[in-house]
Amino acid sequence: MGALAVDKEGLISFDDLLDITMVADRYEQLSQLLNEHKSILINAENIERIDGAGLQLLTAFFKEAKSLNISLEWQSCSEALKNSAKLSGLTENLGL
Amino acid sequence: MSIDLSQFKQTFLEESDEGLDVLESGLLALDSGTADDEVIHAVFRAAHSIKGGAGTFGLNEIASFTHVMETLLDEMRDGRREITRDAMNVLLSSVDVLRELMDSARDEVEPEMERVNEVQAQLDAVLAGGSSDAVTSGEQGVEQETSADNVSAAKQIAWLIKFRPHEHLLRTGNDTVRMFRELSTLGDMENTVSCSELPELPHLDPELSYLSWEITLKNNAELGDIEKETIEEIFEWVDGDCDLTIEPVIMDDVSTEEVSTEDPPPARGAGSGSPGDVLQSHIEVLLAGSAEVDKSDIVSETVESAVTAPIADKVVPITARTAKKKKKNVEGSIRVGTSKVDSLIDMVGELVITQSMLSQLGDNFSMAKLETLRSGLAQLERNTRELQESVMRIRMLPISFSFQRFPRLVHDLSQKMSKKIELKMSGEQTELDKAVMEKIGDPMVHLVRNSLDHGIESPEIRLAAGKDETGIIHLNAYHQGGMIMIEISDDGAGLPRDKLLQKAIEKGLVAPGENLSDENIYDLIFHPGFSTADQVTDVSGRGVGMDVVRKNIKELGGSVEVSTEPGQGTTFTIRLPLTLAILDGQLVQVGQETYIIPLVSIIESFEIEPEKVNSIDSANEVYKIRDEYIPMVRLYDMFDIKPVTMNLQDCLLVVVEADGRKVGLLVDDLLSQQQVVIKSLETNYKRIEGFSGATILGDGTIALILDMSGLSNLLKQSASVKNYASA
Repeated sequence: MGALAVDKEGLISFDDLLDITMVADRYEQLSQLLNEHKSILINAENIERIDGAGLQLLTAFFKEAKSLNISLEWQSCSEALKNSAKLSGLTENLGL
Repeated sequence: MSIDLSQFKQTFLEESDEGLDVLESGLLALDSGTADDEVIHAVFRAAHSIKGGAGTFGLNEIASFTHVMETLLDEMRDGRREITRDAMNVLLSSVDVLRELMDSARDEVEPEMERVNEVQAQLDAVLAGGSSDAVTSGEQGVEQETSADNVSAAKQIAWLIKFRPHEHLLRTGNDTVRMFRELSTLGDMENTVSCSELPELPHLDPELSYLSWEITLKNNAELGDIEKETIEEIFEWVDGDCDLTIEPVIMDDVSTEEVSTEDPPPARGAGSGSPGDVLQSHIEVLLAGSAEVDKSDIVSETVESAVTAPIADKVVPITARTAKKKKKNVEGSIRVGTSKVDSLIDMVGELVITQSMLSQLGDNFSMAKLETLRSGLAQLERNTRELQESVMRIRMLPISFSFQRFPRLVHDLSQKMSKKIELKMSGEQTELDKAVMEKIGDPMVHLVRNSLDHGIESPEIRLAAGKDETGIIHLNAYHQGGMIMIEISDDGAGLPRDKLLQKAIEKGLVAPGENLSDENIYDLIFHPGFSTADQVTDVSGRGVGMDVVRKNIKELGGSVEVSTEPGQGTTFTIRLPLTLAILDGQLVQVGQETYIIPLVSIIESFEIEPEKVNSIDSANEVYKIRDEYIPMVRLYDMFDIKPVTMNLQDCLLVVVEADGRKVGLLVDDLLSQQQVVIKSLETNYKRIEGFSGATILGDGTIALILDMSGLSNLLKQSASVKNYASA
């Protein structure tokens, strides 16, 4: 399982899968990000599959960023992610 | 890792066949009132397994159809619904439909949905009628009725689904996205999420579930009505892992009015409402329009359009299936008990040891080891025979596989003819070759139908005759002398001897005044076009069939006989070889030719005593055995070949049984006995009367296998020709 790619500017890039098997790892990495950056850019164009656990993690991540006044924006987002978010009613929560 | 499920599909279909048999026999037991509680549970489990498997393999028509059956069975199982004859009949029809759907799935062709829809409508009617809840009373009943009226009056119905996963749900491997995606295929979905219980990130356990949803699922004009059961199915795997309510909502253009009752009957319509139909109709719409569905368009479209994505995925394989309508040749398979396989492995082990021993012997052979070689070869022969027997046993199946179709047949036909009939079966575990079993099925069906139609009398007539109003049909099977005997008997009126004779005279089959034995008269029923039925029914009575029955059985190397007792009943006895592939044969020499007589046909053989041979006329000879005269056939004469000798005292007589009578075959010599592999003459050359096949002997020569029934016919023909010639 590859680690989340993060550059110095706060750009995070997800790989193709974000599901229950990796949310624990991603949780640690995303939590860390919020401590290190005031502005975060998300590249999710590679996500081919995301499940309920993955969406919930992103939702909690967005909620936390908002409460901490950290700027969180999508650089790009895959159709799979958009579609899964729409099906789960989370489009608005994820700022999509 | 992805698993190719197609490799298991055949197994599923085979298991489903067994499941359907369980379903059918269970339903018949329930119908006759002989079933205990376990039967209804077994029936339910069978339906449930079929549904589950069908869903797994994407056989949606089967899954959705079985689901409705399952609902009905579930209510019966719980005692909420009475087991009525009407319901049983519909369920039995459903079994037939499922069989057809399974066949379509097996052959990879589109099922005939007309019949499916028709029976599904009947199932729906049963479900909708006769209170599904016998315990429903008073207020609740009224309330349900009212809400049902409301629902049916409403043009547009929706479902409000409140879904709150328990914390651990995600850890069970269930995925909410997958469930929502499935829901979205049913209609237009609006999903509102609640994040109120989602903790702040530092307190989050990412593997636990904190979100909850309220989903409105509206009927989509193209997809048709949504059934509550279909929604429940989607949440089936999370039953117990979530809080779930599914409530009907009546929609109008402006507002949404929730219906008061919690569980109204879902709207069902004949032929439109099952997910299979929904899918089908949607596919038709899609096919009618542009075939191309671009997935990339899906997300950017509205929620309504999003539902097409999964459906569109399904279009591809189904369209592909439609394209290849050609029936697929599915290789048959049989289930073999592990003990038979173990025995086979043991035999192969023995064979390998013997082969190894012989191989070693060959490496440094000397004449001193000749005896060891002989012993080794004898062992090889023994091993080969045992291996052959083990292999043949694999093909042997209990005749219950063939018998199991009859309870249903008797059930349906007895209802149709308003007769009361009990079917008894015995000897179901008697084994015979699968190929024989497959071919004997239809003749047996014909005989049973005949017994039902002509044999068993109506209850009134039986009562008037002092019989029990319920007639009995008995199927029995047993082994006898290397053959399998199948008896189909009834306790009906018996064959009408005088009527048969009269009919035969009318048809010119028998000359008026001709003296026929009872046996010969009864045998007339096997004559082509012969029927004594006063009325032609769709069950039997057209005079076609019994001759075909005999012909088919003869082709299997068997015979069928009838015995009857006026007023007491009729018994048909079928004799069949256990296998069609190999037979134990006696090699006999006639002239320079070698023929094979099936060992099972041979009663005895001995040297001829010329003084016991008598000529009846110029054409026919008989031989006296003890106090009996039997016809004697000079095989060299019949086959027009030169004998080794014309001296009777140098010849041998082989007494065989042919068509139930003894015949003496005159041969030059008896050679060895051996098992021979039967090669079909019809396949390799053409059918020849008197021979059932050919085989290749150890020295490479071909020997013809005598067919006793055919020989008997040849004998009759030959005698009549000769009599005519000498007259």
